[in-house]
Amino acid sequence: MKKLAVLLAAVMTLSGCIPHPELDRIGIAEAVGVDFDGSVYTVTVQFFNTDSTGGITAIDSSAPNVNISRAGGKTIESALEELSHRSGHNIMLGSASVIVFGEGALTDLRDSLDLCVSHYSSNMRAYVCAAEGSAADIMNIRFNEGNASVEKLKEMIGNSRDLGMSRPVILYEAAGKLREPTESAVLPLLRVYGSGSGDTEEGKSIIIRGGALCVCGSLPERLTEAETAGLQLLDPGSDGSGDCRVTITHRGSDIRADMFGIRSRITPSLNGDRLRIDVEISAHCKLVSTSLPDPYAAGTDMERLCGQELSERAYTALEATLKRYGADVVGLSYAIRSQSPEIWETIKDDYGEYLRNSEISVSCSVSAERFGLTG
Amino acid sequence: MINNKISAGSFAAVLALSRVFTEVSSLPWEHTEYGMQRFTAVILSFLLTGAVYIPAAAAIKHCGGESPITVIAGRSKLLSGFTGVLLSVFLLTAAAETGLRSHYYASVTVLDYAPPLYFCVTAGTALLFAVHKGLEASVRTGTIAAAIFVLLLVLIICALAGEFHTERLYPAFTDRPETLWSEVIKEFSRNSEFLIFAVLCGNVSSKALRTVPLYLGGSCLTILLMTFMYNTVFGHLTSRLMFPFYTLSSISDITLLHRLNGIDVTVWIMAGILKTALFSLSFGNIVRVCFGCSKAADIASLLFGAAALALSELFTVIPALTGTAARICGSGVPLMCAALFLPAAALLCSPKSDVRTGGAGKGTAA
Repeated sequence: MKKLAVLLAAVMTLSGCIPHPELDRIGIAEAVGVDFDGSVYTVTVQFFNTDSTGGITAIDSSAPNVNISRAGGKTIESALEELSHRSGHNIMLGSASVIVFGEGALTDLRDSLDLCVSHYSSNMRAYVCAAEGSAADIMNIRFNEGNASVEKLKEMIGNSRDLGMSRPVILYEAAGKLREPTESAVLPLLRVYGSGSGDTEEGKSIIIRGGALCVCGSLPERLTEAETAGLQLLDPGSDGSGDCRVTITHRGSDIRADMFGIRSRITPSLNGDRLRIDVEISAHCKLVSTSLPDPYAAGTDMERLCGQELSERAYTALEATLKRYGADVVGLSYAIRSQSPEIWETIKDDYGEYLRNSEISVSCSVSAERFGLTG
Repeated sequence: MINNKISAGSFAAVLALSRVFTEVSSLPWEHTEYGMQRFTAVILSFLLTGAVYIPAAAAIKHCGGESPITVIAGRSKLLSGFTGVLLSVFLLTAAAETGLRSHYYASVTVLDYAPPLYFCVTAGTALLFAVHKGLEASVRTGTIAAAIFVLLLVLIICALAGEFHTERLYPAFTDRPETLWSEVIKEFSRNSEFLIFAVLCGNVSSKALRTVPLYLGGSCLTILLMTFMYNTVFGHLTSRLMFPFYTLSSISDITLLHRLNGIDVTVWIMAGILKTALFSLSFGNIVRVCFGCSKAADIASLLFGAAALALSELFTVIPALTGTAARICGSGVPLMCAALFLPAAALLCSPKSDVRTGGAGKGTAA
């Protein structure tokens, strides 16, 4: 007991002797934007404003919930150091939940992400997004709601995923994709627009529109919403479910249906000297809204139409990535290697070209689990 | 401070933890590669390690559970002194390597830019405490650390249940046949626990030889499970990760323990210190048995710990020295030398009249 008392006393009295940073001197990064102009990286960081909500002060909702700082450097690391120097805060990346790359920085995205992955204080589950234009423009938008501006952005990414419009990508996943044979990944594309609403100080807001296809060493290519929606079906990712909502038209009437339990199976084969990719999708659906007088009678038609919609989405996505750019963004190489190692041995040295010349076939079976109008 | 109260199970748990520690705390020149070859390399290396333990196990059984050094010391002073010097050099190198691994792991993950002094003071104090409390307390602490690691592993598996992409496994034994043998040897050379077992097996209360299958089986299965997780969660990214297990724990997002990397670092720093403490206690036992200096054993253990930490610091500042040491240790030759010399010498020094039946181990130090 005596020893314990001595130990406790030592801990309580001597801990102040050890140098440590105060909370208000740390810049707790919530979101990071990275731009590159060909020679200089510019890093824009939204960090927690300790003068507003929580921190070492009482809550003051009149103060902005986030501070923004920007600095440049030859590398991202040196830009962060410069930013720490300028802002007077030691930047802590462990809580950064969104990382946005501007168009210029997407060309060498792999190196930038490797830096983030090897930085042990960074948050490996942070969302990685692309910006249409500059990432600084995205970072400059401050949402007033909640304790942190970034929460709103995360909600948007989450909603986009739930509606099946765009597939969220997290840090280690994006870095992994860029290490696969075709060194490519698709990131959700953020765009600034003038909302005119009062939810931001600037009167502007952010919208997620499609995706950016990043291939190492090339300029990013833009994918439409339909294409990114198809990718979500085929490879939901660690933070997605693949579930989505579709609108189909039956006898002139719009029907909204929730698709869930989506499973996809990709079967590769060689047809002569061309790679053939057969995709089978299975899903369940339930009605969300309809103006049909008797939705039960339309069950079979609805299953067929939903199946068509999912097949089109998947085909569009594969055509836009595999065939147009030879970019494997759905982990197809793993499927080929595990299912048909002999095919992999044949095509691995010229994989991108095989993808460009591939034949794609998509089939989908949907079963209507229930017709209840509510979830 | 050496006593005879450790059980084979807890000894095996601590040895397995220290083996997995070596696997987790990669040095800058060690990388875990993605691919099925990793499974092959791990299995082959453990088969080789198992083969290395056979002569030692035969010698221990032949000598009625006595550790080889006790048998050698009871027969020839010259051979005993030679054995003591040889084992001391091996132990010091292995302990310094352990110190280097712990320091590097702590520096990169939690200490970041903290001065080396922080690590040395923390590890040195813990080591002092471990050596002072003795083998039983160290093994007990190690068993707790092993239990925490198992809990961590279970939590990680639960948290990442939906992220194991089994399609990333493919039917192949080798990916890079030209590197398979070097990978096997590198894995094999990481089994410096052999030295601890050979020196301290006399302190196991009963059935000391049960330690070997338990420790080898446990550590092999754990490393295979970890390899499975690296391959299925990270795929090609595995080859880019310095500490894949740390990254696994840092992406494990569960409700109450949001990100498990803090637990991970605690376990491995604890394991590193414990492993160094076991080497120190082994050295103390050598001083006691091989050199016959019982009174100086405890202080020798402490000095050994300090020397190991100092040498590990030296490794961090002299890359050429580190490279040479890594090449020698990584070749597996020192381990093989110890594994062949000890049982051979023990069998040579064990006259038939000394042979006792039964597995009751006798303490190597009174």
